[in-house]
Amino acid sequence: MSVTETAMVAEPTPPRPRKVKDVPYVEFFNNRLQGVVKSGSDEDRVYCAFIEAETGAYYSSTNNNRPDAGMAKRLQMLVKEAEAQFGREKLAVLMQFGGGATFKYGRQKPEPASEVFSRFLTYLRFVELEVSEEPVPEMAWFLG
Amino acid sequence: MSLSRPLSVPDAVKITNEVIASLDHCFKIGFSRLGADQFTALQTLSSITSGTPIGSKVSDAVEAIQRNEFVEKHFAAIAAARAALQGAQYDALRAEVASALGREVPASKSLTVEPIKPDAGPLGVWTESTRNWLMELALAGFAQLESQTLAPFQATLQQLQGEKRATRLGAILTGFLQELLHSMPVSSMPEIPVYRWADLWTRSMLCALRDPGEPAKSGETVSGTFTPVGVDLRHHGFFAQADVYGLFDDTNSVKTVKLSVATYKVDVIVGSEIWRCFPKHTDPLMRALSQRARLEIEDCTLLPTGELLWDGVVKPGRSMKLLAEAKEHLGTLPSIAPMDRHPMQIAEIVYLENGKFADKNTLDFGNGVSLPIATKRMSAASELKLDDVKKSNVLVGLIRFDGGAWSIQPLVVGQLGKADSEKYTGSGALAARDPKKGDTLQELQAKASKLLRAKK
Repeated sequence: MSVTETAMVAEPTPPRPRKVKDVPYVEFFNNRLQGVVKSGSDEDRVYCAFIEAETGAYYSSTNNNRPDAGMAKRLQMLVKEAEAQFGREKLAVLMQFGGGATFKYGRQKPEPASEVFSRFLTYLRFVELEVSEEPVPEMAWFLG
Repeated sequence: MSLSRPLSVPDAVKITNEVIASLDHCFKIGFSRLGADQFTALQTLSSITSGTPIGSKVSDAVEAIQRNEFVEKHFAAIAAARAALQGAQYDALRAEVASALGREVPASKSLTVEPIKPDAGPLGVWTESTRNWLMELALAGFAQLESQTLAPFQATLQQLQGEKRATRLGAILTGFLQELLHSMPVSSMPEIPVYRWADLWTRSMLCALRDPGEPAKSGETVSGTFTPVGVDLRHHGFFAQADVYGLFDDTNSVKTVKLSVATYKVDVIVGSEIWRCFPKHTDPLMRALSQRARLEIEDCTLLPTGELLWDGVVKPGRSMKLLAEAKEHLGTLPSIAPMDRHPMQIAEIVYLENGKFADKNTLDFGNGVSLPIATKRMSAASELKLDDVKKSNVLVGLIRFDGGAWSIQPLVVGQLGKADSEKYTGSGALAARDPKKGDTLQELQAKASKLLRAKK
């Protein structure tokens, strides 16, 4: 290490601002890409979908755990929005599929939708959280 | 005001960097698997701090770690020692920039060591849980981090985010954890940003040790006129803060101050839409920023650090001439809180004329004085672009220090003698706050009110 070691890192710029209308939630958490995708036909229905890194194991179901008939389509929508949010290159590294791929099918892995859905609710909470008047000097490390 | 000479880097700062770099190897490898070189680095830390108020705590910590005794308080001592080194660097760098500008060096307050008074309520539990998690990170080592070490901490973090008093801790931990999660697998990284992560680790640890309500108590209640001069918008995916540098006139004197407003946000909100996230009550500030106007302040707290808190009444004031105000009144801010001192906190606000845009994005002020433009610090969300800097010959900016070098971050630029030639950060804040049909924030707020309420 040298004195040129820097406390700053430039944030990668996403390729485009993401629209949240059809895919309100996308995240990479605990070794999988997961998110919430809106149903194309029913305005009030959402699907919770995920794809595991490395294995490509996947699933999509309603938040009441009814399997998704349009699973392939939902997963593609999820990946497309994940590419917009993280950038294709970054997503490929996170997913560890090799060869720069951001999408690979493994086996179907039915898991309850509740984990993804509760993460989504936690995420939505951020738009309502309150802060103190005290300045946060630590934001100096985050360049935006 | 002008720079009388080129800015240099004091030797003591460089030597201290080497000490820190050796220490940081412990964080990279992991404190549970240190080798001879790392023990030497820890011994060095112990001898440097010997005789200081934290000396005995650091030497206890170093001895304990060598015996493979891993207790949280020892990691707090290591954090304090690392921060103390950087505090000394801050003081030396601040003195250097003040001297080159012909400004008085702000007095640094001496650091006192006080026993930690843990919060008796749940906040005390969450901060302890945070310190434990930080110790786990340090034991594992940055090079060995795995999702499984990171993900479970979310539960504690969610509690902290929901506690207003823990805003500082919540803000840094949210950014730090997100950055770590997005760096998985660590083996895929071309280089681990060890210095940065050790910084974030150290700052998180110190935040998890402090008494949340403490600073406001040390301030004075003031009323007067605040003139915003320039804004530095900082953000990570889930938090944003606008640091507004400006002038405060209480009719007796004009002081240079800083007013910060902050908000949580979500990562999908980027660019100018970030301005939408700040709470409604900050509207007068956004208007003042965009329209170059003053604010009337009643009964707000002014901290000894020159930070003005928004805890009183803030009302719109009259318009003003931005560059003229800066030229006439801009001075230096007092030293920041002792525990917060770090080279990253160097933000010396200056008004400088006749800077010529030169090669490699540098501003040349003549007489062999030049400063690189801190392009990395110019937010993508900023209204001020590099092209505007090129066309200007006067600026208000922040002199910064990072990666062993000085730079200047422009906040306002313009052309001498040309009224309304100013381009400045925050000029679009007001317009950006108008809701647009189907904008991201509205969509998410609508979903939040539907789903979060439905669950309860």
